[in-house]
Amino acid sequence: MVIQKEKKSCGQVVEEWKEFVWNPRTHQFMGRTGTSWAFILLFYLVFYGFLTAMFTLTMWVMLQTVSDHTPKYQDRLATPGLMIRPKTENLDVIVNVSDTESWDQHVQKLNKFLEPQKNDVCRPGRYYEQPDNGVLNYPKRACQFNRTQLGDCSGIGDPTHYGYSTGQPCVFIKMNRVINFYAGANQSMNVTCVGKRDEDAENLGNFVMFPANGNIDLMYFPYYGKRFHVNYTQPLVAVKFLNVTPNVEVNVECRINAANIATDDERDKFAGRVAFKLRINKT
Amino acid sequence: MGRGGKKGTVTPRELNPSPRLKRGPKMGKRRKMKRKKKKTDMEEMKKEVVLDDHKLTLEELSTKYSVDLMMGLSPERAQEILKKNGPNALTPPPTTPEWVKFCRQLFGGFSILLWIGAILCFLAYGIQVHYKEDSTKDNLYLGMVLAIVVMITGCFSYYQEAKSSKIMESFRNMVPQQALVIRAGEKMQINVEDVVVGDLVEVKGGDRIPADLRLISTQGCKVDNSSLTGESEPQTLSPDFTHENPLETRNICFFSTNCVEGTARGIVIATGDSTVMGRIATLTSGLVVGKTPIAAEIEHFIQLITGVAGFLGVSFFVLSLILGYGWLEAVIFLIGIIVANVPEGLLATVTVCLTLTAKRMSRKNCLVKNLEAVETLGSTSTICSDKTGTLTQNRMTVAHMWFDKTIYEADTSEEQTGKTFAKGSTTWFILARIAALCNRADFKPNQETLPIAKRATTGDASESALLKFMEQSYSSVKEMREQNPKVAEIPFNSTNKYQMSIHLQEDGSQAHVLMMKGAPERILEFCSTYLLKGKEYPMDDEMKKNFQNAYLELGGLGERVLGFCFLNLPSTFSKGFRFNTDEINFPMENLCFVGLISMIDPPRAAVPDAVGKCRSAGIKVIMVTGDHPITAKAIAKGVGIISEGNETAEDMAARLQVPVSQTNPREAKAIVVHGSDLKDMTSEQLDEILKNHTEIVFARTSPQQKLIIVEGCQRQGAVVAVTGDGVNDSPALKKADIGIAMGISGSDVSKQAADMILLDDNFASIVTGVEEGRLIFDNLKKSIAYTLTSNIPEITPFLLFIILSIPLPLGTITILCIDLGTDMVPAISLAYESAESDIMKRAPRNPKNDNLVNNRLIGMAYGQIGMIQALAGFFTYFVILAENGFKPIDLLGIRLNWEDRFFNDLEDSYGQQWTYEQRKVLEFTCQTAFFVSIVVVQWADLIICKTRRNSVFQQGMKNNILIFGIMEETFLAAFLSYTPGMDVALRMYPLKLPWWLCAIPYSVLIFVYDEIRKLTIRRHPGGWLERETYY
Repeated sequence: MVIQKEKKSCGQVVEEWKEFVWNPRTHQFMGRTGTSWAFILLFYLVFYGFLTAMFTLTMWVMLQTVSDHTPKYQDRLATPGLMIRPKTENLDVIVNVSDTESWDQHVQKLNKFLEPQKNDVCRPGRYYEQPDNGVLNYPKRACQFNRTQLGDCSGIGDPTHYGYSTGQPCVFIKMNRVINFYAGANQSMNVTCVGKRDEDAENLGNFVMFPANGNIDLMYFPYYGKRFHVNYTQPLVAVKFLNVTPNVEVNVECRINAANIATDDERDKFAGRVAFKLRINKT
Repeated sequence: MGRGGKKGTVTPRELNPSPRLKRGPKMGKRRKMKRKKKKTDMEEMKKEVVLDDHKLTLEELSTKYSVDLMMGLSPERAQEILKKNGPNALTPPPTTPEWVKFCRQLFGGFSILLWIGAILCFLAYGIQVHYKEDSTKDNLYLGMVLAIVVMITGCFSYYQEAKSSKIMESFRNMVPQQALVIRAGEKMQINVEDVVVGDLVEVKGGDRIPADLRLISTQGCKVDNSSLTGESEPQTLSPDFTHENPLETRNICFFSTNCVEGTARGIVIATGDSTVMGRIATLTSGLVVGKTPIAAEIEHFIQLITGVAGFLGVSFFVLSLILGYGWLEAVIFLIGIIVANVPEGLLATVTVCLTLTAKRMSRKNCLVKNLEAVETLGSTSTICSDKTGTLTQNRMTVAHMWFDKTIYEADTSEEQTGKTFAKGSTTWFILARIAALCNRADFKPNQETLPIAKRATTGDASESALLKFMEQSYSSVKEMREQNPKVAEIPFNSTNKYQMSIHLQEDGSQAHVLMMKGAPERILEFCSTYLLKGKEYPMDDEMKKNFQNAYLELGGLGERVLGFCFLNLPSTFSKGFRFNTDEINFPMENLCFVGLISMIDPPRAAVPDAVGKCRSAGIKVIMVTGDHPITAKAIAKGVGIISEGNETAEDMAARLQVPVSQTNPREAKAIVVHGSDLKDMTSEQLDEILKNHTEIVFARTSPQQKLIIVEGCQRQGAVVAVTGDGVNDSPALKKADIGIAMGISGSDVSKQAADMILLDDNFASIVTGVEEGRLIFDNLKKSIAYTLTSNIPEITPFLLFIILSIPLPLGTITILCIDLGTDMVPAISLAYESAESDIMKRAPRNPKNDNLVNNRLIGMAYGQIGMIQALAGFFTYFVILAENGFKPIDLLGIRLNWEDRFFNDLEDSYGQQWTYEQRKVLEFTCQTAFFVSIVVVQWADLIICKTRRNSVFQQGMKNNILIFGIMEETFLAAFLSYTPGMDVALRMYPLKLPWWLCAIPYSVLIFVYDEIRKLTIRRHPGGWLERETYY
C-alpha cells in the first residue's frame, strides 16, 4: 500500500467503467456473468417472495383482529376537535363583498354541505342510543338535523348567499365525530364565540348564533361509526356576523362548553375549539 | 514542508564529503527544482555513508580541519564555526501544530461524510425556511446533532492520540549533556550543543559521544554502538584505520553512542544533522508513510456507503419528480435520503472498538501509539525482526563447555532451571576457578536480592556471562577472589587476544598460579599439556584434533568460544615476588590446557513458540541483523526462523559436497544474505530472493539496507511489521506498515518513529498483538454489519413516505435515537466477542480483496436482514394505525391531507374525525413503535452478528458485555418511550404493551434465517451461499 497509486487519466477511468459495465472477455455485466446474475436474482426473488408472503400473512392476521365497527383504541380522540365551514385554506374566511367570485366557492361548498337528508325525527334533549343488546342492530338510524334550525343561515330562500353578498357572513361550526362519544355527559352544551383579543372583540361587533345560544342537542350522539351509522348527520351551529369592521383581519375563537370536553389543550389548538380569521373587504 | 527550513541549519557542505550535501547553493531556486532534488536526496540517503576522514593521517586531519591536535581550536574560531554551522543538535522532526492534529481528527476520513451530511441538513433547513415560513426544525436539529457527533468523536480521538504522544514525551531524555573539549590547550566543560567541527574532544567511560569523532589517541576505549549498528558488543577503539567502511573502522566513533570504558581523544568531523546519526534521523523524518490498512478499509467503506446513498438519493430524486413533487421537495427528499444513509454512530463505534483493543494490547505489553495501527498488526504478512534483544535475551550467557573431551550444555533459559553436567570433575573445578578469577567483571553493588541472571554487572558481555555462570553453578566469585588475590594481570587486547592474571594460591602454600583465557587458537599455542579428569597429559595430535572439532562445532553454533589454561608457578615465584607484566619476568609457556567455554546471546524462551505461531498464521518472519551471519543463522535455527529440515544453499552444498555454485538456489528454502552482497544487488534481485525463499536471514546489514529490505517486502504486496531498537532502525520503522520499537532497550528515536512499542521487548508479544489485530478486524466487520443493518429500516420509511404518500413511519429524531443511542453499546460489545475459530491458523488477510466491508456484507445487511427489519417496523406501524382507526388501505395517498395543519377533521376508516395534532400524536406514537421494533429486531441481529460462520449455539452467549448491550438498548428504548416529558422533548410517546410484540415474529425470522444460512455455509464450504453471503 505504500507503493503510490498512479493517477489515472480520465480515459482510463472511463475505460475501467466500461469494462465494469460489460467485460467482453469474461462476459461479465456489472461484475457478474449471466448465470451469476440469474442465481442471485433468483435468490432474492425467492427471499423477497417469502418475505412478502410473511408480511402479508401477519398483516392479514392483524386485520382479522381489528373490528369493522369500532377501532380498538380511541384514547387519542378523548377530546373531539371543532372545525368551521366553509373550510378555507389556512382557515381564513375572506369576503370581498363586491367580488362575487371570492365567496362564491364558499357558497357552493356550503350548499353542498347543507344538502338535506331524510332522517328520523328524534326526541331532543337526550341521547339517541341504539344498543346492540347481543344482536347486531344494523344499520343504526340517524337523527334528522333540520336546516331550518339554522335560521338566517339556513340558506333556504336566501338571496344573500348566507350573508356573503351583504358582508354579514355565516360561519358554521361543527364538532368532530368520535365513535361512542357521549358529548356533554348528559347535560346541554353550546358553542360560544369571542374575538381572540380585545381589539378583535371590538372589530368583531355583533353576531347571532343559530340554533339559539349555539346549542347542540344530545340527540345527535352517540355516533356509531361510518359502517353502522350510514346517514349520520352532524349537528351544526351557525354564527352570523352582523357588523364586522371591514378591511380588518379579525381573529375569532369559538369553543364548545360541554361537561366532558376540555378546551384548554396547550398543544392542540383545535381540541374543543376552533380559531379562524375573518376579513370582510369593502370598498 | 519542514524540510526547506531544516536545510538552513545543516552544517557546512565543504566539511562533509557526502555528495548529497552539496546542494546548499541551490536552495534559492524554484520550488519544483527543490522537490525534484529532494527526491534524489532521499535516494542518496538510502545509500551508504560516504566518509573518508578515517583514511586520513593525523597530519592530513589537522590540516583539513585547521586545528592543532594538542591545543584544539581557539575559542574565537570555535565561536565562528558555531555561528556558521549552528548548534550541534539534531533538528527535531517537524512537529505538526496541535491545531492541525486536531483538525485532522475533526475532518479526516470518516468525519468528512458526517460533515457533508450536516451541511446538507443545514442546507435543507435553509431551503425549507426560505420557502415555507413555519417548517419543522428537524433538519436543523439533525444537522446540529451530526456536527456535535463529529466534534465529540474528533475530540475523543484527538485525546487518545495526545495521550499516547504524552507517553512518548516521558521517554525523551531532557537532561542537557555536557562535553569535555580542549580549546587553546585548555580543557573545558561545555554544552554538547556548542561543540563545533574541528573541536578536540575528550571522552571517557560513561560519556555519551558528543559528535562524530575521528580518534587521535585512545586508552582502552570501548564504545557501545548498539544504537547505531545493532551490535550489542562494545567495540574497542584505536586511532588506527582498520576498515574501509567508516561504520566498521576503529578510529571513528559516532554521535550519541555511549563510551563504555577507557578514554579517547578525537577531532569532531561532523555535528548535528550531518552526523551519521543525524542523517538517519533526517532520513526517517523525510520518509513518506503510506496509509494504514484500516484507513484504506474505511475509505473503501465510505466509498461504498456514499455509492449506495448517492444511488438511492438520485433515483428517488428522479422518482419524486416523476411522481409530481416539486423540485424543492425533491431536493429535500434527496438530502434526507443521503443523511438517513449515513451511519452516524459508526465512527464513534470504530474508534471505541480500536481503543478497547489498544487498551487490551497495552495490558499485553504492546503499547499502541497510533490507534489505526491496532489492526495493521493483524493484517501483517511479513515481520522483519531484529535479532538482539527481540529474539534473544540481549545478554551473553554461557551455552556450552568443553572439557574432558566432552561437550557439556549449560542452561541458557531465562529462568535458569538448572541443567546438570559433570560438576564432579576436577577439570571443571579448575576451569571454573580460571573463569572466575581471570575475569575483570564484577557485580554492581546492592543487588543481592535479585536473581543472579538479572543482576547488573560491570565489564564486557563475555566476562559478565562467565561471572554469572560461575556464581550460579560453582560458588561465590567474591569469596574466591578474596581467597586468591590477584597479584598481576595483562588485560585483554585485540593484538594479544588473551587475558592473563596471576593469583595467590588459597591453600596457604604461598605459591602463585597463572591463569589465562582468550581466543582458543591463541591459548592452544601456549599449552604443552592438557588436563583430563584432573590429570595432566602431554599435548598430542589426537587432542589437537579433538580441540579443533570442538572449536568448530561450538563456533558453528554461532557461539563465541574462549579457551582456558593455567600454570602453577614454581616456588621461586612464591609470595612476595614482584611480577612485571610489561617486561615479563615469569614463565608464560608450557601451560596446561583446561577447556573451552562458549557463550551466546540465547533466544528468549517464548520466541520459538511465537515464531511457530507466526508461521502457522501465514506470517513470514525475516531476521534482519547487524550481527555475523553464523551467529544470525544459529539463532535463526534456534528460534525456528530457519525451520528444522530446511537448509540454505551453503548447507546443501556442504551436504552434497559440491561447490555452492552448483546447487540450485531455488531448492533451498532458506537463505542467509550478507549485507555486503545486498549492497550490490539490484531491486529485482532482492525481489527474487524475497519471492523464492520462505526463510530469510539478513546479516551484517546497515540501517539503509534495512529500509531497502522493507521496501522490497512492500513491493511484494506484503504488509510489513518491523521491529527495532536502535536509531539505525528508525527509517525502517517509519517506512514499515507498522513499526515496532522496543520499550526497554529501544532508543528514543526509534520509539518516535514506531507505531507501537513492545514494553517487554519480547517477540512473543508481537504474536499476541497479531492475534488481537486479527480479532478486532473480524469484530469490526461484525460491528459494522450490525450497525449497517438498521440503516434499511431507517431509510425505507422515508422512501415509502415519498412513494406511497403515507404518514412518515420513522422520523429523524428516532433515527438518531437508534444510531446514536440504542445501537451504540451493542455494536461496541461486539468488540468483546471471542474468536470463532483459531484465527492464528489462517493466512493473513489480503488487503487487496479481503475488505472490511465488502459487497457481501452490504448485501447481507441491506438486502436481507435489513429488509426483514424494515418489514417488522412497517408491520408495527400498520398495526398501530389500524388499531387506532386508520386501516392500511386508507393510508395510501393520505399524506397531503395528513400534513395539512388546518385540516382538522380528517376522517379515518371508521368515520371518526381527527384534528391535526391528534393525528400527529398518533404518527409519533407510530414512530416510537417503529423505533422500538427496530430495537426488537436488533436483538436478533446482534445475536446473529456474533458469528459469521458458526452457529450461536456453538459460540455460546459468554460475552457479558453483549448481554448488557441488549439490556441497555431495551431499557433505553423503554426509557425514551415511557418517561414523562418525552412527548415534549423528543416527541416520543408511551406504547401499549402488545405493540412491543409486533416485531417478535420478525426477530425470530432473522434468527432462524441466519442460522439456516450459516448452517448451509458450514455444510457446503465454498458453496454458492458462502460466495454470495459470507462477509
